[in-house]
Amino acid sequence: MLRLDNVDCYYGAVRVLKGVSLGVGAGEIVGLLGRNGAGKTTVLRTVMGQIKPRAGRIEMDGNELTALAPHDVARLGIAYVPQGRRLFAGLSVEENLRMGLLVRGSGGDTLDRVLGLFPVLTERMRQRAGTLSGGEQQMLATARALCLDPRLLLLDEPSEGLMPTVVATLLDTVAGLKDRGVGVLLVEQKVEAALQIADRIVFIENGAVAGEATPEELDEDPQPLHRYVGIRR
Amino acid sequence: MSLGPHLFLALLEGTVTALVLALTALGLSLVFGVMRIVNIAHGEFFMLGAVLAWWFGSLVGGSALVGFLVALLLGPLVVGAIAVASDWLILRRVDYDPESTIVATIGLLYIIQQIVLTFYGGDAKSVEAPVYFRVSFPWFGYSGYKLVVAGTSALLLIGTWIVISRTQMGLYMRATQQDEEMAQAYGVPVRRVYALVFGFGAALAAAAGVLVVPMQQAHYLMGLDPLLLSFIVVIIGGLGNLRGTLVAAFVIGITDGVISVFFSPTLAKILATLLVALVLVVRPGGLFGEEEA
Repeated sequence: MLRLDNVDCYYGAVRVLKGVSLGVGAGEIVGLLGRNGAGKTTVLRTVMGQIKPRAGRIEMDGNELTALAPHDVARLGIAYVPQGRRLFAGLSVEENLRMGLLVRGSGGDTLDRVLGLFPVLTERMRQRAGTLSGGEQQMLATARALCLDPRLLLLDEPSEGLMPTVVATLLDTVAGLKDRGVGVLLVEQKVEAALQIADRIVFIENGAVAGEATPEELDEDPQPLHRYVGIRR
Repeated sequence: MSLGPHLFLALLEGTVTALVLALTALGLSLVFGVMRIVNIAHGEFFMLGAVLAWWFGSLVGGSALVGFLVALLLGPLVVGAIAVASDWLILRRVDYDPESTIVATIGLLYIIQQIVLTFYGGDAKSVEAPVYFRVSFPWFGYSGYKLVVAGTSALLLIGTWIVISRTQMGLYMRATQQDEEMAQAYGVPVRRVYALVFGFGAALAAAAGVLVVPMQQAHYLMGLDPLLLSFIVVIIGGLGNLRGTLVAAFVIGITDGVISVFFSPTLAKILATLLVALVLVVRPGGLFGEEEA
């Protein structure tokens, strides 16, 4: 579904992505792991068109993303939950969700389904998003993304700063998307969380893909975890 | 007249001033809020509205009312189109950089002024009020047209409020104001929103210009006063904060009315400027802070 092919990105003169190639299939959860500054967030931002790659191709269902204006990327069904949530803090919960619904003209049934996943939000519809608690904000950020009825979900550190129970709810929700055929590209510091739901782990180091493994393979041989993320288990 | 009627007159004058000022300042505040641009040329859009009102008036001839209605409808549209063109020709080229756009809009200010000077001339020209009647209060008669101005301004303000708070375009504008990059990630064509907001802000100023010109005369340098007053209002209200802008317009407008009637207009301007200085010292973000739209 999503394919990055030899993508090169620069911040000024610094080459931050070096020929990155990876793919996410429908109904597949891919965990992107690597140390701080390895380029994980840059991969997501490049898919969203917030950074223009200098070389390489990014395709979504055969559509070349690099040729699109940034605001058209979402219309292909790519929803982005960035690090730090980045809600429209001054808008109400309802308006944040509407921003998601408007992208692809999703209807009330989508909203009902999403609110079914996050019932807390139903009581907070008129509240300003910025006044929600951290956990509620993350739920809203995820709900906003799901409101656009995504085919691909880009998640950047969804568990950051959250209580374990909230993390569990979120992981459940993300894992539940598989059945709907939604592909997920997940960037996560909490390696255990990623291993728990991902079908495949892609390791990234210094802006390049360094390796790939399934969680089962990593159970048998955790060596790559140590090497690319610095975790021993 | 005793104190009571005097005060009533002052409040009446103040309210008219406040509503027109709110209309002008709202445009400036909207542009700053959504685009993060300090538009020095904002007063020129006001002036263009006034000059166009004269032009449409002389073009239509005959009834002043028809000319006025044409001007009120087409003036803001024409000025809005000019602003959209300026956005495309100038602001977009400097990538909406906060500092470059200040310099660029100063340039725009002079370009518009000189074009008007060339084709319209340096004389102040008066425009006949479209309606002429007096409202008699027990103590004095009051210009009916001023009340029309107040009413029309109020309607335009309410209309703008509805657009911003109830429509999809308004939602896109507010989302862009909150987080431009995320707005884009959620399908908002940010560049188009910018162009529209710049046009809309200019159209509001132009509408104020059309409304004011029968009381003021159209002159190519008349944009300076509304620009300064708008800045005062926008700074007191909190940059980019629309509710704050409205409240501040009323504070400044009513104070201006009261002090002008009881003392002198000059003192009113001095006090307004002092108030800005005071607000900047005590609450640099404006009375209503930054975060709210």
